[in-house]
Amino acid sequence: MWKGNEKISRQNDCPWQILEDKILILKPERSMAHELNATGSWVWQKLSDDPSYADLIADFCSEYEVLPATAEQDITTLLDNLKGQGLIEC
Amino acid sequence: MDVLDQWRAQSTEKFIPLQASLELTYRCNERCTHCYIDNFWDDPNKVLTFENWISILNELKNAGTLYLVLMGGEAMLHHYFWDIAEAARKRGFHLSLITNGLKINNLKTAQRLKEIPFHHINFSLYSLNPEIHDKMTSVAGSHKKTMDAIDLCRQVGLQIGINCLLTKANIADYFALANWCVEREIEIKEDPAVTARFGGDLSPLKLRASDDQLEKFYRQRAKLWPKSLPRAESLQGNDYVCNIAKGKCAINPYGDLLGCTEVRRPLGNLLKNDFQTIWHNESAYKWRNIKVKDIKNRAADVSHCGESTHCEHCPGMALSESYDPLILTEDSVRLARIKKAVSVEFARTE
Repeated sequence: MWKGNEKISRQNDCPWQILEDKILILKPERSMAHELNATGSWVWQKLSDDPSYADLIADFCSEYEVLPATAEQDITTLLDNLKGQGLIEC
Repeated sequence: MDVLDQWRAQSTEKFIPLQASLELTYRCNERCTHCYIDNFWDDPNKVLTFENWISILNELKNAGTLYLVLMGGEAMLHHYFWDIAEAARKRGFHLSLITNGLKINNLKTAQRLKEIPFHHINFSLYSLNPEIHDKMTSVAGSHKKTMDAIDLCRQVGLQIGINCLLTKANIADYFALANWCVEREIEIKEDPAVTARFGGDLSPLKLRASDDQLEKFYRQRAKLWPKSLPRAESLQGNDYVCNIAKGKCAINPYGDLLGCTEVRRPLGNLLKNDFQTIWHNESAYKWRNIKVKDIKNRAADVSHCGESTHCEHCPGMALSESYDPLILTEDSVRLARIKKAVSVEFARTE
């Protein structure tokens, strides 16, 4: 469960690159590569500023013109996945 | 095709330099007899500043680079080596280092490489025999220092690999080194292609392994590791000869942008023009569009290999040796002939 004021940041040892609207993130020590879609790419780029969960939801609502409940659902799923892969920390 | 293969294929197709090699300095603390560098010295009037390198890192990130290889000369001799590595990490590059390891002489340095983090350290190691290695580097005691550095990096958990150039001096000793690597789960890459020096000095070519040595090498390698048996590649006229100026690039200590490390003719200089302007100029277009049908003496290869060839044409080596990137060198034809002979021999026994 993500808390509103919880700061979220990328794991600093994960190399990444953007190609068109996708992002490739590597986890070298596990020899793994993850590709994120356009929404995931937007979130990954936002994480460069170590935003709080609440700020991320607010920015997402503004960027994609969706309701907070929809944003929370999408972002939570994505963050859970990224955290499970060891790509972010909080 | 996994996601990494897809990205690699797209980078080649769309001319995105997914890998960039940064030659931080030509200075080196070894003097390898086979090295392509003709002068182990950086011109102080031309060498890039730290700020120049940061600007280049930003341009590479925007151009699509993911894999960054720091190399030299000896990259660790660069005054701002650690600062450039740290700046690269902050920008999210995958970092590799090609080194002789002589500067990794204590656990603290190895630990610092791990903390940056460097994702891969490639050591230039030519033999398990100190006499052979030291003779090739022209530095007494260099073998022990490189082996110690490998040990330190393994102690801190860095992923390492070995680059082993094969010459007539070390090829017979290669399998002892290869087995040593296999036992330790260390990746080893060997390469029999000794190249000319930047300035056109062809003397390193005399160090190339003989036909007999190469035949024995390919035969023994195939016996030990059947998957390594040379395979012919079926090439069509419109196939590119290599990945130059497509999915990779290189930058020398003076900011010259190169299509790859082998072709020393700059596409342009990053102090004078931005990356994208150079990357899409006429020179870059010319180099990246070299196709199989453009090779002038392809008949020299087809005559013995047929359309399925073992011949690997390198425009850079051709330029250095014959002043024409479109001519197959005698050595690439020789290597192809030897690989084909071994391949046919093994096909018969199978």
